[in-house]
Amino acid sequence: MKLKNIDCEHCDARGKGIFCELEQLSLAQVSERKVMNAYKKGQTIFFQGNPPFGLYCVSSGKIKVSKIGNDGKESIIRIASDGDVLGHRSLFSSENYTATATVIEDASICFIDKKFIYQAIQDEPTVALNLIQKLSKEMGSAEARSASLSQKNVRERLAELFLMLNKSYGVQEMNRTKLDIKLTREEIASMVGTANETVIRFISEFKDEGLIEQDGKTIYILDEKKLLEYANLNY
Amino acid sequence: MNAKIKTLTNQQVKFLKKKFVPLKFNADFHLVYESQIPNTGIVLLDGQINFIHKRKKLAHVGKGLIFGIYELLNNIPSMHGCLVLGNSELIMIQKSDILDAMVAKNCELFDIIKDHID
Repeated sequence: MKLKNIDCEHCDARGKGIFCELEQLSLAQVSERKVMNAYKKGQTIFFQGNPPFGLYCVSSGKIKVSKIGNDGKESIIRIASDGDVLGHRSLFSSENYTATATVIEDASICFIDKKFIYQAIQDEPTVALNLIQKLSKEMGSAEARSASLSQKNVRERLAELFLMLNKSYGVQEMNRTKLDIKLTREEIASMVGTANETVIRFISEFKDEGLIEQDGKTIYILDEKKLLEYANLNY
Repeated sequence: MNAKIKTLTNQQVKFLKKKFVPLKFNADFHLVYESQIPNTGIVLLDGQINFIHKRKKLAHVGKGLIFGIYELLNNIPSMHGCLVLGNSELIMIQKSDILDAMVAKNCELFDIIKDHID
């Protein structure tokens, strides 16, 4: 898959990434140092257990970050999309990757090497602040997910997942919201922390109750208010 | 196979091992897929790398191989995929290091990589 090398100033994710607040000259330096590649669905960015040697910025597309257990079972930790960074946690903690990043929708991803990242953090406070902000949000999501797994039942977790996907990928149509992300049943089950059969059963129930509708792998939210009740969210 | 690959001398490998921290890769990973630009240049210290074209293994290479610098510097997509097998030990020569060496010029790193620049 060929890709035209786009500089940072004209990136699809301009305004969402960690370098976006840099001045033109500094941004040009990032453009010079980065390596931009196109990844097809199914290709892997990095593997669990391998050492990091840089950081990845997502320009477009969607990537799932997942852990494989000893039993071979996959658990999806998060989905990254335009503006997100990958591999930063392992890079800064000097640990091997604790998860695998796999493309689920064709993506354009920029790699920035470790030496330049550390230099950028020293020279440009905005880069460090943006990274801290992203890490903080991810930590918050991880805490919320951990609490949900122990405190909520499957129905509540599934409703919560649809609301989270709605917030990140929802595209408003006439009287419904399209979730602009295609996930398999297995991936949804992995994110909710349950079996495929259970997810299929609850998705059918949600459809029967008029909360969602489905067209192939695409899910549409019909009744967000009711989903909020089902999710039993506490703020 | 038209990837720019070279085998380094023992002395060159020794120098690179002192300058950079070797990384041990536990799982197979694609350094680069076909038609992608490598993210770094690599030197293989131990293990094996398979070069792949249209899902078929073309060749495998062993210790002392240096690859990816020419493609990285010139933004040239690799015609072959490069699969690093698990339990391989590599040195990653990053773009920042290459660019710094090109500015400095009178350093041992530049002597090693100059054949790969153009």
